[in-house]
Amino acid sequence: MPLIKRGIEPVNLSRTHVGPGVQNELECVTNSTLANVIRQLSSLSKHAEDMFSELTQEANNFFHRANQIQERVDRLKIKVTQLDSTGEEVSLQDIHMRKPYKSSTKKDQQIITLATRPEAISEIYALCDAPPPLDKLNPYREDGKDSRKFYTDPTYFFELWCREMQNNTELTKKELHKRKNKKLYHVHQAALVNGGQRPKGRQPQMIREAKNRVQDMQKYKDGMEFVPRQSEINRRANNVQGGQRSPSRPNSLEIRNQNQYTADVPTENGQLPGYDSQYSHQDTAPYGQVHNDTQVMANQAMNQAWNDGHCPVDQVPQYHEPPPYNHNHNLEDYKPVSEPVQFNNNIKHYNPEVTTPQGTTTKPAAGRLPALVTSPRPSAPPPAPPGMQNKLDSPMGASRESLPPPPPPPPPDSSQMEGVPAFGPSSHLNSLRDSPAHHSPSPQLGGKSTTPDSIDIPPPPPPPPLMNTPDTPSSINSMPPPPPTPPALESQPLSTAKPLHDDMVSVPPPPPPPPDGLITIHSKMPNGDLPHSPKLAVNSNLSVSRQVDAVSMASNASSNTISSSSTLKSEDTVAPVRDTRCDLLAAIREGIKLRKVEERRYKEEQKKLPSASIDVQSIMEAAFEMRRKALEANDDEDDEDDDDDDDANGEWSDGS
Amino acid sequence: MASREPQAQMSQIQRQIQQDWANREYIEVITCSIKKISDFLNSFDVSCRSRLATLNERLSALERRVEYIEARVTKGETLS
Repeated sequence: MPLIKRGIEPVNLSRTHVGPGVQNELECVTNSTLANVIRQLSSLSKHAEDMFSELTQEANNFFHRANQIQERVDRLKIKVTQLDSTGEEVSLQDIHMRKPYKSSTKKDQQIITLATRPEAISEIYALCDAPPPLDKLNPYREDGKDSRKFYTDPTYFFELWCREMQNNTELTKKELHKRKNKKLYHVHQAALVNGGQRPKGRQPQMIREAKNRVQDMQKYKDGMEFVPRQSEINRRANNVQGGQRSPSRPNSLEIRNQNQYTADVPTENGQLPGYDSQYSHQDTAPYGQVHNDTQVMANQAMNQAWNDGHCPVDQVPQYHEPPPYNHNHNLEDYKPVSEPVQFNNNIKHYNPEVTTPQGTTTKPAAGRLPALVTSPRPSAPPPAPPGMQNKLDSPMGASRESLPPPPPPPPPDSSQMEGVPAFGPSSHLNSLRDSPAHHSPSPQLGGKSTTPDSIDIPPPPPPPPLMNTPDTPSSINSMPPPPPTPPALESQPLSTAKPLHDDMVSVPPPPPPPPDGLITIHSKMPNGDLPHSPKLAVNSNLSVSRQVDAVSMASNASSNTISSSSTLKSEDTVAPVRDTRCDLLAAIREGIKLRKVEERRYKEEQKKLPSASIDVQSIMEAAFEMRRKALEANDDEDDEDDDDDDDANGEWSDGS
Repeated sequence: MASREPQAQMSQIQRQIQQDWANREYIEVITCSIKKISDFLNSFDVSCRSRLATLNERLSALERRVEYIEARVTKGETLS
């Protein structure tokens, strides 16, 4: 149905009612018709006037615009004639300082509104019946909606479109933020881990570790975890040979310790001396129990054989928790065993450190894995872990108590973070060359420990802190362990290793200075290499850069070791987990802050736009802007992913 | 007389009818003229608007060009 813009009023000119008293009807009709024609003419003239006025107004607008353009052209003429083609147009500085070109042209929008409605149409509109005064019912509505909008809502479609566009913009915004957060998170974590080294390489590793964890968890559910791990251990042992201890020891120790551990646990709480000896056994025992239960008998036999002859470096993960206490006792009775244990402890600490830099996720996963492992073997409550000493007193509660202690470590975390890189390499070396690595990380301690002389070695740095712990055995069990664990998590792998050696002296949880890691490794390498294994020495000889490359591998290995480690480890990991969480929180906070800044800028930009809420153009521009950003972010992500893959491959190749 | 009267009536009616026809013709001319005027006004309006639209287009292009040239020629408007 066409909308008539201008209608000439009287229609059916001759159709009139003729009164009864009219003599000449024809004349009457003619006269009335003529009168109507005159009315039509008047209507026509009125419409014509309206029409001309509209055209005139429009023409006037164009005239003004043309005049403005003429003025600008005149100004331009003068300017152009004044231009000096010989002079330097713009200096390099001016180019940067120049205002960006911003078009001032306005695009036509909101074309169909009350303001743009022609007079004729508005007159017709005025003739329409007004909508029923439904708005009078508004006070009786509880939902605050306008009652009239249920009858007629001229802005319905615009609002519909506006909402759609805004939702679109919000979605793209969220995606952008997610990506930005991911980037920030990765960057931050990479910075934390590497201290600026290879930030990109870490990200892929984290992802892979997470995947591996899931797979490992499933394996554990099936109780298959031990088999593959032992195979891995065997492999490592075979490769290292020099570090024989790793595979065999864990099993043998585990069995022995388990027996002792179960019996000792109750007594350990209050007894320091007895505790030390028993405790060492206990620590190893829980760990070994878990493994024994799940491990294949054949593998165990193999490991034991290895242990007898060599220190199984590979199994370190399993021993991780028991190490500190075990070390002391083991040093006396089972030096070989104690040494591996120490290594294990070191590895544990080291692992947490490695994980922390990469991401908190690794630590939690490690904690979970141990828990899973323990589940199959309920008899061996994983308390063995370093923090487990507390557990020994009260297996479950103690372990949790051990967790609280970690809080203190947080401050060290920051410092550790800085020191992490130094530790990282050492830890990496250990993990990479399972047997050798263990030796290398604790070359001073380990080398000494491996050999009976190890007792002499321990004194150096850690003793003082360790001494404190031994002073109050019960407190040590509950309290001391935590302090060591926290530092170990971040950057104490080496430090923990030292404590282990110190443990020989009877100082299990020493918080040695984190910085020792790298230097100690290099310098200690020779000392420890001889006793442990030639391969270790070779590994230690590796350049720092290579160590860094290996860090990724070490981190992976550490994750594996952590998973393999007994429930004790899980508890230990718990404390580290908290630390990592703190790091995550910091990272997240940073990311959030950055986001806020960006959002503010974005909002400011939007504010600059005129009437952004109502302006169709501004809405469209905002939507386009978000789309553009999203596309750019996608491109960036793709590029980064490619880079990461490349880096990861490079690292893997390097590690291999 | 009787014959004359009817004749006179007939002639008067005829006159009236003729007059009516004449009037109708006149009205028809006027209405046709009104139609022509309205048609003209409509066509004029449409033609004017189309021309104004093209003019608007050209003016917009001109404004952009002038703006571009102004931005190109303008110097020294730097930040801070």
